[in-house]
Amino acid sequence: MLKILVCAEFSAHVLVPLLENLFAEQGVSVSLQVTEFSDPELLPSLHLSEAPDYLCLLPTVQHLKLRQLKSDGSNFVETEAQRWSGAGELFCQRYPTTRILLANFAFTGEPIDEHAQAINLCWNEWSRSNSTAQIVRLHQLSLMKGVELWSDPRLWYAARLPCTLDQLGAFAFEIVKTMLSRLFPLKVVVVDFDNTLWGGEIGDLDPTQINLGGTPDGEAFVDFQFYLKELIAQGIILVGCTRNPRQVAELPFKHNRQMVLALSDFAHIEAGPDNKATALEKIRDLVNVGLDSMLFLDDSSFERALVQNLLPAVSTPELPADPALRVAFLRQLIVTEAPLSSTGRERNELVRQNIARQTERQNYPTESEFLCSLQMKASIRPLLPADRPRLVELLERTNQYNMSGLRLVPKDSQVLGLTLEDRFGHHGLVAVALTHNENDGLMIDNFVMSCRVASRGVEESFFNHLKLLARQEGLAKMSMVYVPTEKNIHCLDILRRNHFVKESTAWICDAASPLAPHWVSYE
Amino acid sequence: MSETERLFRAIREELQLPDLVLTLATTANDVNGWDSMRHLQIILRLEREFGMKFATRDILGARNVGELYQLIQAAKRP
Repeated sequence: MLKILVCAEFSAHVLVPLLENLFAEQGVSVSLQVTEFSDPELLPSLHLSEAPDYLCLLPTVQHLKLRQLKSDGSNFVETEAQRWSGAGELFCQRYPTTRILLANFAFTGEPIDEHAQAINLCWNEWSRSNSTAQIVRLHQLSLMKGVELWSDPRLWYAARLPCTLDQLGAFAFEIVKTMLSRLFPLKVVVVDFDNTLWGGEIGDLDPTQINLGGTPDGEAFVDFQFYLKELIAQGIILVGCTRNPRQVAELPFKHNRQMVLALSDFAHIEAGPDNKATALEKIRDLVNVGLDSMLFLDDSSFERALVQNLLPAVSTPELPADPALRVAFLRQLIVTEAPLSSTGRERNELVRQNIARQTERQNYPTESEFLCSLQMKASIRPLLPADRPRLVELLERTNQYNMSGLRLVPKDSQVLGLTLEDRFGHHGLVAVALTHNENDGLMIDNFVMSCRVASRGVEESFFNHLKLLARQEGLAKMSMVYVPTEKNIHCLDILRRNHFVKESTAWICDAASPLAPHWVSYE
Repeated sequence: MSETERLFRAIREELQLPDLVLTLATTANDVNGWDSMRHLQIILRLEREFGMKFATRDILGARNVGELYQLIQAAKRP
């Protein structure tokens, strides 16, 4: 049950049934509490019986106008931006597990927009530096709808509604979409080729004759490819999926100058006669992400229906038949967040490297011979301020290998990180442990590891180092906090493989028993 | 269909109560589920149905179905 506290400057109770329905459609049950007020300074003093998972702040441009009339003009933008973001931060100091959603100001077509937009920009900046905050993009939504469709001043004066009844559904959808983008982040886009990346079928046409550029539909296909490039820059992993043989599927990339995407833009291309559901399962295993982190784009309603039926966890939107409508459709559907770290931006390339490693695996008779051949070198060290963006990314985005689910670093925790490289390249910072000393043991408040390096001996090396640190401090045991979720079942294997034993609420292991694999050298 | 029948039908459909008995004297308080949100939906439906716009003061101002009917009639007068 997701607990959401909505604090709004309008009659937000009308959003409750809409939000409940939208969350239920996604299989998420929620408990909503709505308060209406214009004074975010009061937020930190709200007395709640338990911390909400989300604090959803919904200011209105109508109230902003009133405050501008009363303002002396000095620092209006900074003061107004800080009023909401600062109050959210104070609230989170009191309830450290709560995440913040802040809706930016809608477009009105009035002079206030100049200030509203400046405040929105401040909030964008703030959300980039505050890992627990996300912006609900009402400004973009209202612009897309247009002022006449979006607002009806009569409803504001009569019922304190910031938009028309018809648009309340879109408003609620924007909130849900933003929240789910963090809870179930999109990681992989799997895209079909024929009639999705270009018009026509490459099996029947010369690669220079496919519909790409030069015609109305052809221009739309070009823009679609630009959009996929944009997603890659946002840290999305791009995978191609086609029933054509690989050498045929690659022809446009080699011989058509209108192609925007290059073969190197794909982390992997799954080519062959398999049906798309089977292909998607192969991609899942190869890329090592959950099906619910995947989006499947295919022009064929047959292929989409097949995937929707066999793999309902994969997001399979009804891509518009008209290629000109597809980018706008996807922009409304997908919320991506700019990656915080360089590792995040290079995710597509890192996955490419990883798939090359897996292909190499076939050349070795045993797993351990293959792992030895990788020449892995790990370095374990306390994190530096420069590592913070990557730390935040690991804590926020990792679900499968996240022991306690803790997304923040407790004040008294030490943070150790592991960076890894091998003969294929650098993995960057791939695992972190948050620890503190407690009585006679080293307590691990959370251990988080990127799924890209799972089953390589990384966790054993890390635990071995922690055991060494524990022994140096005269501590006999190591304890781990493990909070089971739907997704972190692999953590249980890690605990068992590393001889942790459950004792009441914690998992304990002896600090004296080293268990490091010989194929990872570390310092 | 008379204008009152069109009015009653629109209200029944917005409330999703096809068998609801309405008269010009019916008020929102008489009907289970006719809350402020439903009322706004009814107002907007009537605007579409009769091709008119309610003034802001009238959106929540009508005390019963009869007053809604009068507001629709008044909007039609030149």
